[in-house]
Amino acid sequence: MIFERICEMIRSIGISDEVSPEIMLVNDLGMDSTELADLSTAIAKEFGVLIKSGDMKGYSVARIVEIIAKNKKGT
Amino acid sequence: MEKVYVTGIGITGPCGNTAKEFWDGLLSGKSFISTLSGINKDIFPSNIGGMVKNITPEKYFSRRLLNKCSRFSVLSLLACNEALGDAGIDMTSYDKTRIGIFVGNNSGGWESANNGLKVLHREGPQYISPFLASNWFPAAPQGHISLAFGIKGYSKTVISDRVSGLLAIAYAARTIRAGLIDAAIVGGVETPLDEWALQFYHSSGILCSSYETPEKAYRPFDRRKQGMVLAEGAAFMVLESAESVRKRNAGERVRANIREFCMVYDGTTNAEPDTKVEQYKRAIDTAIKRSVVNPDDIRLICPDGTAVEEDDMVEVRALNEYWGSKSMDKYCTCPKASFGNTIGAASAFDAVLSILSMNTSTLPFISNLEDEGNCRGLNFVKKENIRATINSSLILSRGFGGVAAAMVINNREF
Repeated sequence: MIFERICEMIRSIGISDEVSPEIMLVNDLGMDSTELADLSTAIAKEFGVLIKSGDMKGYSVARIVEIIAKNKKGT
Repeated sequence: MEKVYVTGIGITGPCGNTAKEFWDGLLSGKSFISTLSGINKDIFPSNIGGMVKNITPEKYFSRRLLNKCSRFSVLSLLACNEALGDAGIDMTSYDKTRIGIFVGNNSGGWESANNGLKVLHREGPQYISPFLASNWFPAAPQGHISLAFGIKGYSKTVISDRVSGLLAIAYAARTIRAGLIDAAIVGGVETPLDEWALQFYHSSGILCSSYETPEKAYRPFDRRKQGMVLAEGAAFMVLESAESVRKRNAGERVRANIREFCMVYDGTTNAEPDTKVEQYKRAIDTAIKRSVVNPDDIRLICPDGTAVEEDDMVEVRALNEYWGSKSMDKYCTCPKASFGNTIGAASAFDAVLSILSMNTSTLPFISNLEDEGNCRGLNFVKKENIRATINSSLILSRGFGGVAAAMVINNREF
């Protein structure tokens, strides 16, 4: 569920590449600093979890999902 | 003087979304000014304007890039794309460090800032779109044009009210003459029809707020003038050095050549009309002298045309004093009466439309000019378009802060 939502958020940035859990946000998808910040904002809005965009540079999609699952409200 | 050539043009504006569509729309004689939807007339008495409609940027640019852009960047990208195509520049082989970007703009991307402020106060600062940081300010289109086309040469964005577009063209031409770049994509863009931007322009007191119909509201140089009507749009052109045109064998693409320019200041925002006439005349005189053209050869004048009595009179008096009895030998047209004033892009629109006038030997008539009243003494193009051969035109522009400028543009000659 979280993974699907992250995929949708990435697609809404305009990135049409296929997204799998091991995909790296910067190295594979080429996300720039504003796109990372946009994703960070979208995650904070939906899950109430703040992941700093600077920290996301070395993250895969799976790592993002893991952090959200661990920290989101109500869990 | 080293010549600088115009080899491509592009327009996204109220009369049409390409230069050809825009030109055909303009020559049709129809007005493109209408009521702005969603703008409350009780709050904004001037709730009319020239809107850009039915654009399809996703046909040419990735959603990823468009996501980052405010509306004024999107309009710029479309006009630049057309201008580069018209110039036939192959971006895969041209040295992109030798192409510059010059943009004239006045008010930035206020609709983005407006949305950001709503989020700030309703949801909190952490939820503001990070794209806002790089898409609301006047230099944003310059950055987005650079991203879209990979252009890396010396570039600038200039802000000087309605003179912005002309100033951008002048800077680009001078930068090419100085040898810093070989080519430039240059023009003006404005999207002032957002509520917030409208409020700023409204407080200036020069907008038309009383009119019979939207179509008849903007009446530069007419006895019944009641102020300016705003419009959105982008007008761009590709400039090249003679060497660049030669190297890529593009002589046949040359549409015009940019001569010289002069910009002056009244020295005060509240200058008396006499002082303003003197300064405006100085801009005209200096631009023509620097351009090394015979004043008699200039046969088309494109004035600023705010449709405010004192301002229009300054223009008429300055031109009459400069040319004397010969002022009636020149055609004078003001196409923006048909679609509105695009402020920071207005003089870029005038420059591109004067090039189309010269290229096609057709001069568009001034909408709503029925009786000049006090503005007599110039040969205005009225009631119908005129066929005339024009080799040299004079573009004029004025703005707040006492700024005024003039530029000479010649028809094709390579």
